[in-house]
Amino acid sequence: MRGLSPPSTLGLVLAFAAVVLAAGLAWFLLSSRPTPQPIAFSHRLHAGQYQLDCLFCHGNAARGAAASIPAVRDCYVCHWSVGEGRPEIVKLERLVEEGLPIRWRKIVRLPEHVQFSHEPHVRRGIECAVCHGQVEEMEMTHQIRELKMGVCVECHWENRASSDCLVCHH
Amino acid sequence: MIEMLAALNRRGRFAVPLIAGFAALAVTGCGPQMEDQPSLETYEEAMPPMPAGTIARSGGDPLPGDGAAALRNPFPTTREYLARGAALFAIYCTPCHGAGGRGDGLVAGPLGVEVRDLTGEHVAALTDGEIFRTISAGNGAMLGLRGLIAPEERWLIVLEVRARQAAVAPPSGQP
Repeated sequence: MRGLSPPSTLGLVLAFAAVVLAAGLAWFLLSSRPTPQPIAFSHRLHAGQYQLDCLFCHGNAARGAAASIPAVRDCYVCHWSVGEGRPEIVKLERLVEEGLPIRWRKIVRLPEHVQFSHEPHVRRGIECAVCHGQVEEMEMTHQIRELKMGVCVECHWENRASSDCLVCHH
Repeated sequence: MIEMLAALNRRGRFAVPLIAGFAALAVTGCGPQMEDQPSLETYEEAMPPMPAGTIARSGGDPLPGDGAAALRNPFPTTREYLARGAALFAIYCTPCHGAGGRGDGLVAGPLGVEVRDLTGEHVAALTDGEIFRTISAGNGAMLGLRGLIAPEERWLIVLEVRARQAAVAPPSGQP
């Protein structure tokens, strides 16, 4: 560094701007792309080809706040036989033998300071696809739209649901 | 602020990477994120194990053994319960047993076993409790679905199975 002149204020500002831009770009690229999962689960196969209802695996969406992901052993309701020997099913078998969970990566994100519950939405018959898109056409799922307050409030108005602050911010 | 940073930088050669690091932290954020909602991980324990002899105040999921045949459906056959049963049947039974319950669902093929016709004689001869037990704990090639379907939902499905049997074979004495 001794041979170089100290960086100017402008240089520092530019360096800071470059870091901000790079971080923003990385976040955008990572968040908008389909995310690889520990097991290459295909919604196109399960929900598309075999027409499994969303609630078959995510039944808790009709019962409580979190849609939930089935326990590994519940995959075995079909996979004791279906797809036997396929590489992704072998991965599943290994996890069951070792008693390990599948560390699925979270795809759909909500803003902070909002509490979302699936149950009242399912009860009102709001299609899962409104927020989650046509997952039956997705090999790897991704977030189809940013779920910001405007989206929530607009839908609440359209469906004459309460838009009281405390409905979501509690 | 900028002057302060520049002065800092003149003194040490690590200032630029340090500032860049802090900037990256400021942008990406650190610490717990409220957007991570409290959902359970698979195998995660939802509540501490209950002491022996604890009695359920509501719900509960007794896996009936030999006493299953005598269990009675707590839900009467009303229009509302039938509608809920039909919706649940479409979600949980149709994949293997088919929309009509005839054992011709889309998953029946890949399963590679013969799937029971729910409107056939065998299932018609079972008691409500035995059907409930089969949904819960499985039977033969069918594995139990107790991890996926809540107990009361299983009883509503039993209503729907009965409704389908009645639709196929009207009770004797009727034309």
